[in-house]
Amino acid sequence: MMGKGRFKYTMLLASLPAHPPQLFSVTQTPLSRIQLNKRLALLDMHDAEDLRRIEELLHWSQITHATDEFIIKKSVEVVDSINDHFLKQIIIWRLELRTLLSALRMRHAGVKKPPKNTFPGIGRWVEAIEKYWDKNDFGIGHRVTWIIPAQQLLMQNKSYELEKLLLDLVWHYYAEQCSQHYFDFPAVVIYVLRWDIANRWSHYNADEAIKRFDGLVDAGLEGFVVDF
Amino acid sequence: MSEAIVVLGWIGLYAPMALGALGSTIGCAIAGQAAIGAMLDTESGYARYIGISAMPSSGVIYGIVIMFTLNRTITPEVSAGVFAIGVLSGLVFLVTQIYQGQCCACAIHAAKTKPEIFGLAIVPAAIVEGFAVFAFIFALVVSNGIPKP
Repeated sequence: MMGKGRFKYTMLLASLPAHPPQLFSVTQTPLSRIQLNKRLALLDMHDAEDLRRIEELLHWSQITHATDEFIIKKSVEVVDSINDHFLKQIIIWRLELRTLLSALRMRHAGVKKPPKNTFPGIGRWVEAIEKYWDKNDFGIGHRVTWIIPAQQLLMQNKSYELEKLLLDLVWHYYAEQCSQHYFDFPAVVIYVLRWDIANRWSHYNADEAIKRFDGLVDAGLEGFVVDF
Repeated sequence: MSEAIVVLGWIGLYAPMALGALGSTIGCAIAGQAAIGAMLDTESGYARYIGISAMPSSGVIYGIVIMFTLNRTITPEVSAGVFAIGVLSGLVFLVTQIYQGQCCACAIHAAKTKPEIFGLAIVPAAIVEGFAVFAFIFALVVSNGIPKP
């Protein structure tokens, strides 16, 4: 009733400028990283550490040159270390997205159907990926609606459009999830994750992005240095 | 037994004031934090943020008035009535002021980003205030029925 947890970071969140509804209207982040870090100093130690771990995990450019096994182990560790069920769901959703995208890319690169229990991934779709490797949507298109458009863009080698699709997907997913959280820790986490995406988009260079994305043909999770 | 009833009467006498003050404290603290946060992010409109953040202070005022209205010699005959009216009205002030503080925090947060909705944004807080006023008025009305020894 007191709403202590729900209003734990009222001042912090009220001090942050709002994100625009549409990601692609972003030309610069609502505030600089320096300013953001100053505001985040209001987090208590435990929450600050959780945020650091979540951001590090979901901002994979920080853990390049790691093996699939290392990434999966680290992801499981981070998910296990988070006490908040809502935040766990957010993290797992993003890791599942990466798993699916990794599978799409591997298949596009000509990798054959992986034997059972060998596909490196996280979340509920791994089994479907292994079972329905040859289906365009891994048999889950009705539940994961973005997978067909993503697969088509990948087939057409439209890397720029694919990256836009995924960034927009993540942007709106976070916005939707945030609708139940205004001044609590999950709201802070979502704000920072959206800030990361806005930052990425505001520094976006389409030509370089295409080269980078196209360069990720060696497949596997370890190739995934992008932010979605 | 009669002493215990008299104790309840005293609790009822002070309850609206104490619970109202508690609710106002929490409500104002929540809304006040939002106001301070909004001031960090904006260049103007500070006064209205602070003004909204003070809205939950009404609970303690209602509590004081109810306390004075109930104030009389506490005897076993009047204790039950004083306890019931005092505690229930105090609980209403406690809860409404906390939730009003939350409404005010959201209003400040929304109005900061979109100043044109300022007036509409404080409507939910005003509606919550309305319920506190109902409890206040009817506590005054009902307390007239308690005899003064």
